[in-house]
Parts: sequence; structure tokens; C-alpha cells
Amino acid sequence: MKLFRSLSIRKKLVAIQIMTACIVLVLAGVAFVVGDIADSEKEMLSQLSSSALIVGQNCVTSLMFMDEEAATQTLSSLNLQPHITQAAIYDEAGAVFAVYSRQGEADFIFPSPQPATQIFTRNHIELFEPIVHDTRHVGTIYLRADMTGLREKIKDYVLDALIVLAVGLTISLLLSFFFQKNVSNPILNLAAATRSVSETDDYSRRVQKESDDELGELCDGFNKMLEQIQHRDSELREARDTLERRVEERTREVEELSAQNLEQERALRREMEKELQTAHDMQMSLMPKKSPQVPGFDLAGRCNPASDVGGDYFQYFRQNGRLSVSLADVTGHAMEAAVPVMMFSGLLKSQMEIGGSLEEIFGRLNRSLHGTLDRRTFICFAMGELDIATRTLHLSNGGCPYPYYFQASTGEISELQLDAYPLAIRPDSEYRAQLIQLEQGDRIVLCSDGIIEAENKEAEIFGFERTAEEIQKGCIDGLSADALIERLMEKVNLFSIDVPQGDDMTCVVLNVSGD
Amino acid sequence: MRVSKLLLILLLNPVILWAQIDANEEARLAKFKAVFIYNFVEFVKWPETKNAGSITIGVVSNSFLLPTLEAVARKRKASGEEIVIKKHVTVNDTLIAQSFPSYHILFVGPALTDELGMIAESLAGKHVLIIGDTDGFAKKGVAVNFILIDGKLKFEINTKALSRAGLEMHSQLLKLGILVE
Repeated sequence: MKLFRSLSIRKKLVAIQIMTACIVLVLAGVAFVVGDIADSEKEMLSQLSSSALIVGQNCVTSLMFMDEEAATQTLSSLNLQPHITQAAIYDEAGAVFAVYSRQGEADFIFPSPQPATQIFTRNHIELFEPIVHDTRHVGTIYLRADMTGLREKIKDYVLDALIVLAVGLTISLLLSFFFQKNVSNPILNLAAATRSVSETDDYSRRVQKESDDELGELCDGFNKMLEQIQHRDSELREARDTLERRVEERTREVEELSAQNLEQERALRREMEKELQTAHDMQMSLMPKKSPQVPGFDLAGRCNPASDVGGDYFQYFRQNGRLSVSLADVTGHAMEAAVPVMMFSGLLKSQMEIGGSLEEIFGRLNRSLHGTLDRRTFICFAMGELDIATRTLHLSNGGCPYPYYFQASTGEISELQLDAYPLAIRPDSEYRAQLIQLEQGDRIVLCSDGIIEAENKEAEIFGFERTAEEIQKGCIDGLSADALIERLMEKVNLFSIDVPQGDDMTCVVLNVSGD
Repeated sequence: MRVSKLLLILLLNPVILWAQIDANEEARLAKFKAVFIYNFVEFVKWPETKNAGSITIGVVSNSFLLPTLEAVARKRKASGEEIVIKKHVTVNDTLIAQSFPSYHILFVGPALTDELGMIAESLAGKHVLIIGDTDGFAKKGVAVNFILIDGKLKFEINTKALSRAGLEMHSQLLKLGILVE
């Protein structure tokens, strides 16, 4: 059955046809042969019975008048029926009265008589019939017939049946080959179409309707289905194309827009850079480009902002025989710090014009800034006021790194430890000033924390010691104020090479040059 | 006398024995003849007028046949009809003229050689089957005459005598008999 299931429909149809034909022909053949055998046997038996009756009747007088010769002669007429091999007449008492044997069958032992009986053996029929005259039983006749002829006939029948079977099957095979196309072709076409559609996605394919039966209906249905699929497919394709087109358009729009945006951004950046440059220039213009020329002193200052604009600031003031040197560092940097720096610059200038002691100036600046700056912003500020004539220096510091003091007489460098809050943190902070008597060769160096806290790649800071050391070396080497700044900056840059500058770096040097 | 009689017996003994054997054979044949006679009844056609419910068989002079016929008659009825045996030792004109024509069968013994011709003549057309068992009787007007051939009992049929008597005989019986003109 598994084998049958895997057969193609064409072979299945042929197989069904042949099976049907085979069954019909075999059944018909069997019925025919069996029926014929039964008929033949029946016919033979009735023939034999009537022979027995006739011969028996013909022997009645022979029996009654005990004429064995006549009976024998009567029996010999049976040679006209060659299938009868033996015959016998028994008298009333059951003794053999007359016998007959077919040519060549003489040695046969006749059985004792029996009442009317039919005995079928493998190849013979035996028959006993009483011989009756009127109502009187005068004897018995026995006939034995050979059935090999019948068997031969049966063999012929079977052979005929086989031939009919073979011919029938051949015709059936031919017919089924011829007619199965009507059924299998549309199905095979459908199968091929289905395969082709599933392989190529070509929904425009149609199958040819060949008949008006259910297969034709199937073809119509298939075509209709394909049509619907094709319709939907094209709709889908169209929708997809539209979508793609729209996406493309949108992408292009976005690209254009972003290009535009980029351009705008660039323009903006350029503008901003320009403005930053302006801010930088403005901030730098707040700070002195040249140091004031004061006889007996050598002054220098430099500010290296970390970005275009920064929070560091330095300035000199010269009035009434005094020279003030100041350095400020606003928390934060860039624009966040730059604006307070500008404000502070103006404020400092006006406070310097008002005048007073360093303590008074720091105090006023602090109060003023505390009220102005936001809470997060404050300013470290250091300032020294030098009496040019006496070389005495008043120094005050609010939050800046301790100023360095190099004493030429000893060659030692020390930090002037002045502690106070940066400006604008507390409104009531008090600032004191230290008085230092400078001698020739002495130097005062103010640094912003950008120098001290400059980092190298190992996140190590340049530090107070290294700063002090470098300053000391420069002083011992007798460098000018400007050269000292130059060397210090160079050392710091060398130290934090490859690390972007994190904070503004500002340094101001007061050198008592003496001449 | 007694001795001589005994001697005679001794001398004649083979003859007596022969006679005894012959007598046995005669009895056996008589039985067959009786059976045959009854069987003839079934194959001979008598006119309806002659059938009065019984078959009459007349026997003239046969010591052996008569008792046998009577014995068989007691056993079976021919064709289902009663059988009546009429015994006659001799014949006379009255018998021939009045009794014999009513018989179905008349058996004539060898003693009637001389009278046979006359009897047959007088019974012509009377539907009487005349049966004999003597050589030459068939030619002398007996319709059926028993003869012995090779020790077997056969019978001759004189068809002319049959037709003269106004009788028909079944063809099968005719086939078995030896036809005599």
C-alpha cells in the first residue's frame, strides 16, 4: 500500500484499472469454469443415467428369459459411448449376468450390486440403477464412465480462461493508458503549474481547462485563485514600491535637511568661533600687553588660557609711587569664567582708583562680588603693593596658591603663607597683608593653580615642589622675569606633554633688578 | 427273486442313476419353463374382452411342468392378475371346441403330436397362445416352442402361428426367440 501511495497518479489510474479488470476477469473466469465443470458433470451424469435406463430396459427381457448373450450384446452397444469403460447387468439375485468392458480394459473386478447410487471417484463416475419391469425388480445395471475426457475439457477451459484473462488485461491496459490521460493530464498539469508557481513566483501562469467535470472545476478554481493572488501580489508590490519611493524621498529630504543643518551649524560655529575670538581678544585686551617700565624692577606677566577665553587675569596698577601687581582666578573657565573676569576687571580698576589699604580693597571687592556673583562663582585673588622707593611689598592673598619668595641673599625660595577665603564666598571675610622688605635679586612669583595642577599622562600634578624648584633654578640662573616665566611655562608644557591643557595658566614675576 | 431283483437293480444301477440325473434336469428345466411361461404373459397382448381379471393357463399332459407351474403360481401373480391352471390329461372335441378357446395359454405336451394340427386350426383367431416343448412343434403350429441349445433353455417363435391365433408379441421377446416359419 505504501508502494501504491508513492506511485504517480498516472500509474495509480492504470493500476486501479488493471486491478479491476483482473478481479473481474478472474471472477468471471472462475465462475465460467466452475459453472461449466458442474454443468459438464451434471450432463455426463444424466447422460449416464439415461444410458443406464435405456440399456437396463433393453435387458429386461434378457434377464427375464435368462439370455446372457442377448444382454451381452445389448451392453456391447455401449461402445458407441467411448467414455463408458465398464458396464454390468446383475440378475434379480445379484449375480453378474452380463458384462461389458471398453477395449483394453478387460481386467476389471466388478463390484457387487447396490441400490441406485452414484459414486464419484477421481477419474470415474460409477452408477448403479435397478432394472424394473412394471413394478418388479428384475436386476441391476452398473455403469462406470471415464472422466479424464471431462478433466481434459476442464484443462482446456482453464487455458481458455487464462488466454481470455491475458487478452482482457492487455486490452484493459491499452484502454487505461489511452483513457487515463483524460483524468491524469489535468491533475499533472495542475501539479506542474503549482510547482512552477511556487518556484518562480510567477502568478500570471494559468492552466488549460480540458474537461467540464470536477477536474475542470478544479482548474477554474486554481486559475481564479492564482488571479486573486496575482492581484494581491501586484497590489502588495505597488504598495511596497510606493513605500520605498516615499522612504527614498524622505531620506533625501532628511539628507538635504541635515546637510543644510550642517552648513548652518558650521556657519554658527564659525560665528561662534569668531565671537569667541572676539571675546578672547577682548579678554586679552583687559590684560597688559607690555609690562610697565619701573626703574630698579623687572616685571613680567603672562596668561595662557586653556580655551579661547579663560578665568585667569593679571594686571598692574601704578599710582602715587606704588606699583600694584595682581593675579585673579575665577572658578570655572571658558565663557563661564570669562564674563565674571571682565566684570571683575572693571570692578578692580574702579576699586584701585578709590584706593585704600590692601585689606580695605580686598574687603570691598569681596563684599561687592558676593552681592553680584552667583553662589557657585567665586574669585581667587592675590595682590602685592610695592613701594618703589623703599622696595617694601605689601602682599595679600585670597585663595590663590601661596606666592613664591626668592631671597637672593640666601638663594632660598619660600612660600608666603597667606590664608584667606577667595573673594565672593563670604561677605565678612577678613584679609590681612604681609609686609616684605625686598632686596636686590629678590623675586616674587604669583602663579595660578593651572600651573601647580597641570597633569601629565600618569595623572600626576606638576605640584608646588616642582614649581618652587624650577623657579629657584631660574632665579639662581639669574633669569629675567620674562625668561623665568618662559622657562616655567616650558617646563610645565614639557611635563604635561600630549595632555590637553586643563586650566588657564597665569604667572606674574616681580624681580628686583636693582638698576 | 429277491436276489435277482437286487442283482437287476445293481445291474441297472447306472441306468437308474442316469434316469435320476435326467429327472433332476427335467425338474430344473420345468421350473425355468414355468417362469418363462409366466414372463410370456407380460409380453403378449390379448384383447381386452379376454381379460376377466384372471389369466387361464391350460396344461395338457406334462407331469413335470404342472406342479412347478402351480408352485410358481402360488408365489406370484402374472401381471398382477390371478392365475388359474387348468389340468388336462387328454383332449377331446368338446374340450377343444368349448374350453380351450377361453384359455389365454395352452401348453401342449409331446403326446399331442397328432392332435396338434387340429387343435391349432380350431383355435385360430381365438387369441390362445399355444406353447410346446417338443422338437418340431414350432413347425406344426405351436406359437412358442421351448428347445434346449447347449443345455440352455431357448424358445422358438412361429410368427405365422402367432398372427393366426390373433396375438401380438413384444418386439423384445421376438428378439430373444428363434423365429421359425
